[in-house]
Amino acid sequence: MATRRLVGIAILTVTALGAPSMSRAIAQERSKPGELSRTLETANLSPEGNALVRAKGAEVVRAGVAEGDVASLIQRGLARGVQPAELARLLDVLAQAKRQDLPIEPVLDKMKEGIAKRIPPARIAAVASRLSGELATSRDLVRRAEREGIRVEATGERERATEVVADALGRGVSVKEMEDLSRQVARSRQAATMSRLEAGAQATSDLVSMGLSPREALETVGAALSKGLSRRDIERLRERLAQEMKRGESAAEGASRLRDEIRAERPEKGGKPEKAEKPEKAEKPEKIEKPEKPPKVERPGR
Amino acid sequence: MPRNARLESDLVDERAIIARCLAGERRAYAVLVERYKGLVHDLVSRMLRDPVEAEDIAQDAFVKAYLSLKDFRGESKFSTWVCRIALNRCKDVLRRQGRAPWTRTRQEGDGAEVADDRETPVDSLERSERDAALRRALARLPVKYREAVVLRHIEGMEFHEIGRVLGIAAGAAKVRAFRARDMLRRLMESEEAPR
Amino acid sequence: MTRFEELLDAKLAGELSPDENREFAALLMLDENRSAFEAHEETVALLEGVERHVPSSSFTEEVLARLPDRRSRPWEKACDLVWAPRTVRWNFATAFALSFVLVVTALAWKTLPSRMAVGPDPRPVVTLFRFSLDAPGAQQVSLAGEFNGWRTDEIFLADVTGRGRFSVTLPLKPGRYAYMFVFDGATWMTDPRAEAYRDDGFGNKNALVNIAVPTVGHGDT
Repeated sequence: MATRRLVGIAILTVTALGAPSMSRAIAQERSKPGELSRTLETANLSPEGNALVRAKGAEVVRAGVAEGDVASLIQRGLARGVQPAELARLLDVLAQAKRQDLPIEPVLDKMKEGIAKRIPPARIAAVASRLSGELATSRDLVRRAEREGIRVEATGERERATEVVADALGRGVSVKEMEDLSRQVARSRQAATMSRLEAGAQATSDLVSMGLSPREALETVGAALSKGLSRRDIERLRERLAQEMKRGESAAEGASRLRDEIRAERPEKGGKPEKAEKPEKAEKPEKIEKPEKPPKVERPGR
Repeated sequence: MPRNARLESDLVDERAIIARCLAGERRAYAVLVERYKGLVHDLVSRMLRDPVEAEDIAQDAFVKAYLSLKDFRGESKFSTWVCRIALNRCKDVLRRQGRAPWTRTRQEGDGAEVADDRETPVDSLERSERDAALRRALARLPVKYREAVVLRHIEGMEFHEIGRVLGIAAGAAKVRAFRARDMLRRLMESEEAPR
Repeated sequence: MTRFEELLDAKLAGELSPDENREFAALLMLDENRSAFEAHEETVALLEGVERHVPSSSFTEEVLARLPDRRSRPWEKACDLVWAPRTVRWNFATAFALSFVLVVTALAWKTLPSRMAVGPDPRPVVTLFRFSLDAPGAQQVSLAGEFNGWRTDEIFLADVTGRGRFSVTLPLKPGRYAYMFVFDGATWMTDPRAEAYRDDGFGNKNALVNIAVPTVGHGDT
């Protein structure tokens, strides 16, 4: 009796769990209806303002942006006192970016950032537009890179590379310089992957943010790529440059020394994965160290 | 109890505590923290330009050591291991401070220091000034010399243990400490010289 | 090291044998050696006499508060529950019911849309990252960045010790995140201890944190 009861409960439970899954499966592709409407219902807008924002919001959703994201942006904007016409302008920029099939997250994120920081909406729109432009250029670069032989090996790599290359363009790296980088990655055959292009572009951005000119940054990254350094080692170029700069050198001097070091290293084949940092090492037999030269004394104020 | 026996007993005790930590007794870790917090905090204070953040970094070292407990093989003392982690953290901080858009101004006398009730006010002032001069000189030493001299003469470690903390031979640790003392002397003399 | 330097070091440590003591004494006849020895002695005395920095009384508690729970004992129990051998009694009714359950489950699973044709990497492991800021006098410090859509009212730093040292630990997936601190809901401040920075395009400087694929899961500012 107990067994029958248990079996019956099991059947009911599974059916109860299974049915919503099936209905959810059918409804999966539909976003939650009415989020935009609900947001605007509770907003304190004039009828004209409400109509304007609603129309623009719907346009953005039709372009393909998730309704939840649109509703969230509108809600935040209204909460920070952004006027309907200004919101409409932001939504225009968003719709345009989506229609060009650009990664929408960076644009949306920049708008949220601007709203949170209470930046004048016109300026947010200008910055977001410029970012869209960089993403468009970057997207074209990445497509060309693929045609030249750079492989996408996992989902999302293309989009990530697009964002990272756009970031580099935003820091002053020119299109031509980025194309040179892409060609260099493409030439490395087995290592001609989108993730490596992404790492190279990211490292370039990092080095530029540390004071190198784009040309110097690319030269340094190029040296690492030529040497066949792993993705992880390319990502660590900024740390290595920081160490060089700690010796009191300028970024340019440090980068020059870093390039020399890289070129003097033994070429890597395939790049070994970095070992996890282990706090303990096996003990080595003692050896007498050669007398060290007295080092320079650090100047005050460093 | 003879020193070796006490050391052995401490090691066994530490291994037992670590075993309890790995079994889920988080509070057992408090014993190790209490035992070595003074050492680690003082070490970190000597390494960083800004002693105010020393407590944060010292805590970080203990937290990181806890998270890596399963990798601790027990061949050296736990203090050696956590000091090594702490010094690596200090180096990370120093690297970042080298790139900060502005530097924090350090106030003399930052960090809690233990006053000696037997000192006269004049003695106390002289000691403060001397300590401050030493702190400034230490801050100007290159990191690898600073850590060797601090571990040897402030934290009182033997060279073989310093070697384990720094990942170098004991002989190399000895050389570094020697060079560091030389440099410290010159730095302090240059500060005292009339301008 | 020269012979003299080795002997000097050993002398300071009180580790010279009688023969070495005599050798050292002979070397001290030279003025420069004697000066060097005195200078080293003085430096060692200075170092050994320095007052120690003492951690706060709440140091240990703060460390413990930051430790994650190790769930080894419940996990061990769960493992026992799953792997312990058991005797199963069955009949046709049970077998039929089980088959029915399996069929319904399979049908439900099959009708879910498959989103992962080319599967992305397995869910990345998070790293615990600690953000901290010295802000004596601030009433409230929050953190806003790309990891939370720049919301200023979501992640608040706590001043555990009451000395104006605010901190919060976040679990972050590998990636690069821009962020800033916000004082009292209104004033934005760049983290002075960040590892990198980037202009936000609006005239401010965002701090950047780079979370690598973790080896040992902890990092911080």
